[in-house]
Amino acid sequence: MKYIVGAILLVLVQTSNAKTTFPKDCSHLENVAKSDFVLFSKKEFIQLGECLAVSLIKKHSAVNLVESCNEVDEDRRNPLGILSLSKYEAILIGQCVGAINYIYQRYDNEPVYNRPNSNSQKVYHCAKSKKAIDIIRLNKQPMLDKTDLKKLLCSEGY
Amino acid sequence: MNGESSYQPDFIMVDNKTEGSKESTNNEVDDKSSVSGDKCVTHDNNLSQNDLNFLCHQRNRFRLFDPKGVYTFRNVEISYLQTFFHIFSLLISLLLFIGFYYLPFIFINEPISSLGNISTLTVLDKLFLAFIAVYIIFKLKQGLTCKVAEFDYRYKIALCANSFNLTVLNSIKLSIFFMALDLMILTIEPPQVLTEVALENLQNGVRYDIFSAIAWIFTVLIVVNAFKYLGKGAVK
Repeated sequence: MKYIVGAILLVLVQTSNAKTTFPKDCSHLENVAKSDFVLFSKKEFIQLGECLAVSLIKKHSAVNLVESCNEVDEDRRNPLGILSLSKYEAILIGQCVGAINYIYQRYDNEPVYNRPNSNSQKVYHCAKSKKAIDIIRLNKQPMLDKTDLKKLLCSEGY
Repeated sequence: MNGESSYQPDFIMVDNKTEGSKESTNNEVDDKSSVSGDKCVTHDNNLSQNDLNFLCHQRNRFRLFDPKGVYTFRNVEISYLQTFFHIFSLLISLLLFIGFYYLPFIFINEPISSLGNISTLTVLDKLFLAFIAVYIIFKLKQGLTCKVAEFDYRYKIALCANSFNLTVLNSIKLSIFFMALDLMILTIEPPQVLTEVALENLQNGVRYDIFSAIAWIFTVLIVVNAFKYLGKGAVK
């Protein structure tokens, strides 16, 4: 009998859960993660998505932004609007928007450090909003981390 | 020979009742033509033999997907064998019904890292599911508490079974229709689109959302049409 219980416990222990740790920066949105109806909390879900994407990008881990930015485009074109929005899609929209805004704020107009050469004062120019969304959607690789995003969205210039 | 005989037999005497009791049978058969056993009694002389056979057949017919028919012949006694099949089919279609409509609440989830499983049910899905649940519960309460016919329990079981069976059958037909529609759409995709991408676009996108809304409207129509005979024809 104890072997059966032990075997069951062994199986139960191995179930994995995608919820690892909720980021500390987003703790003010933790109760939003529990609510379920998009009609009343669409903005909060988008904020939650933004917060999650920013914390993932800061940690240099990859986010599936192609799917997220496809959702942004779909939401923009959809005649039904919020009626056909689910909690999952709202969070994905937040992820796309949050990632683009973070890259823009972090790198736009920042000087490029190629070599210690005082003549070239190149800066980054980063795309934002619709142009950035279209750039990400056309990308072949769905998982993007901080360096991939910087390469995609920001170009060097004067 | 096909029911066009000029001789109109007098069907009042079919079950060998005497003249004296002819009056009572006439009164009984006035509006609700109650029947016991296989004998169909009517006072209408204009019905031909064919019509009468048809009527008899329709009265005693085993109905599985026909709440309107069950309601129309609500004063006909339903045999216990038919009731057994009604209960059996009611259990099966209740199972399928709950599987179609309410298990998605638990199982339609997608994982998001650091958040866990998030439901992908849209606002429209939840609104229509809630409406269907409330409507069915209201109709069941109304239908099961009013006395309609003489053989009440068997009638109510038959009506509930027929309503749920009809809902499930029509939902299956609707799913097949939308699958056919999807297949048509797959054939008109341009050839450079990959199969996986085309199949992905069937499940996710603006077109899918619009089809989903249309399917929900049809589903509500199916449910309303199947359950509208519950609670009708109440007798004080």
